[in-house]
Amino acid sequence: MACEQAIPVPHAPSPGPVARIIAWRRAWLGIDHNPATLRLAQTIRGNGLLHLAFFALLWGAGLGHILLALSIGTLILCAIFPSRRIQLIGATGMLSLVIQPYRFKEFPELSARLFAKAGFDAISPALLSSAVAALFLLLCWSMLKLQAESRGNIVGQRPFLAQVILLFGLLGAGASGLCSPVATAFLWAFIGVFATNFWTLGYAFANLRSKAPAPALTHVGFLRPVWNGNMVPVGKGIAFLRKFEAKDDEALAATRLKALKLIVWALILQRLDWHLGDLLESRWGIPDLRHALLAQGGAMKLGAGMSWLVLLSHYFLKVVEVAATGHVVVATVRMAGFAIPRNSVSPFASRTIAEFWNRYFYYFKELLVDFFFFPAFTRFFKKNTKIRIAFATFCAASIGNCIFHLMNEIVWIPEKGLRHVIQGFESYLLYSLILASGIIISQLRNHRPKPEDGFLRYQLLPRIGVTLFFCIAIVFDDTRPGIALSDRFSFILGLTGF
Amino acid sequence: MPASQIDRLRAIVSELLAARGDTAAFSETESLFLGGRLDSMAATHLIIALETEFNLEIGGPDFDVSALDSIAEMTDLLA
Repeated sequence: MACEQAIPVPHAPSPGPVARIIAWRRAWLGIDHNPATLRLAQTIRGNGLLHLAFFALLWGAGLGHILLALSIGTLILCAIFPSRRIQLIGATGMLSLVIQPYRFKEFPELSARLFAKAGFDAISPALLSSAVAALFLLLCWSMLKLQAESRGNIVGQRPFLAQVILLFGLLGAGASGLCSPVATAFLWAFIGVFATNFWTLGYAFANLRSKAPAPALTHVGFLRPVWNGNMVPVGKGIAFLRKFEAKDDEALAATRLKALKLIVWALILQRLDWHLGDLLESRWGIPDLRHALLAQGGAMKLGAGMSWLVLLSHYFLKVVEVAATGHVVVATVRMAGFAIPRNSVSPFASRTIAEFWNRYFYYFKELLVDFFFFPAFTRFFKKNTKIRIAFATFCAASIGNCIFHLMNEIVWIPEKGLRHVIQGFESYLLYSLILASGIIISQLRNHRPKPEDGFLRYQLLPRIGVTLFFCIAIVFDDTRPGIALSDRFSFILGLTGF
Repeated sequence: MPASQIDRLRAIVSELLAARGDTAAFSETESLFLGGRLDSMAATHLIIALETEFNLEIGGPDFDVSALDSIAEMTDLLA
């Protein structure tokens, strides 16, 4: 019997480190579709681990202690009682609003100074601000109930207009200086709370018009869901959130795994932003844009090459910062069980200016579209399509954009005056006009890049065009006073070498 | 709503999707705007098409663009 000689089987070559990293990345990005991880995330142990990992990453994202505690508490409650998540988020949202009435970081100090001036030395200004926030919640509940029950009044017919009139009326009263110190302190505390919740209140009114509106009290709870740290209402209102609510255990597990993926990406971007910003300034001597513009007004003018480096790095870091911040918020919303779209999706891939806004800051763009673009588009210039689109875009990108950013500046009115705020705003006003013009031209252009145009005309040139437009426009994207418009123009001229 | 009108609606949406390089199929209930397949610019073209081809009068404070989110919702709006 012939002895069979064993034939050595060649081993498959072991993958190199790059191939391994690519395989890990692919596996990581696919965890929300992987049956094994989906099953694990539906068990008590897996769900617990998922939450612990998420909380650790949320802590790493650098949220304030109160916001972090409220977020973790809300997410734990949502994990234990998933079918009650709307009510629980609403309850912690109201608590969040009363504990932290203002979103502007300067408002608590301003409010404290105004209450001290009015003679409220014995009572904590934070307590007084919380009382004003509680009153605000009560008023919102009454107004929302009024809207739900009857539309025969101005609040019912034009709620957003009513909001704008009320806010600007209060601002006028506050800026007039005619009120007593006590009335001034309470008035500005109320304005601070109202302005910080202005857009979420707008969404609450709009949501009451949906086919199956939630009760007014639920809307009040969503004026300040715990994830909303700034004024842009990520997740819009309750009607939008409900469309993305996980319908079963598997969908919930997938949504939470998406949340985990997103917060990891957010932390990577956040660290990139911090370290690259530091590296550019301290190691390579590239100043930030504001310092470069301030230098433009003095004797230390930058050369064309350095000015371009300043602009490109500022643009890049700003986009990365917005993406990182938005991802943390969206990840928290997803962890609560709502698979809402991301705030930023590959903004550098945009081929048109209009597309960039959709990809760069989705929820801010949605706010401008919902409150300014569509109301104008459905009412004015219906006979002429181009003028109709241009006017609606102007209303959103310029008027709406300015109103939104002006609200961030109202904190300076009581002590520095309206004139100071308006003077600081001239640059932003110009920015909003440049932005609106760019978006209008981008929307009305008949030619859109197509894949058949080739690499240069489809992939490269449109993206360079978008980058150049925003790099130039960003020079004016500033609401702080202190830099003359002439210095900003001079900086732009300096980019050409003059 | 007659089947021919629903077909026309589908054709309009298909054209809008194709203009964005999206040729994948879509169902009656698929979320087109919230799902990210169409953007607000597409919504403006859709509104213009609904106004000109279906004589739909869009306006007033009660209009909500999410009413156009799927073929089924558009059909409800036009019914």
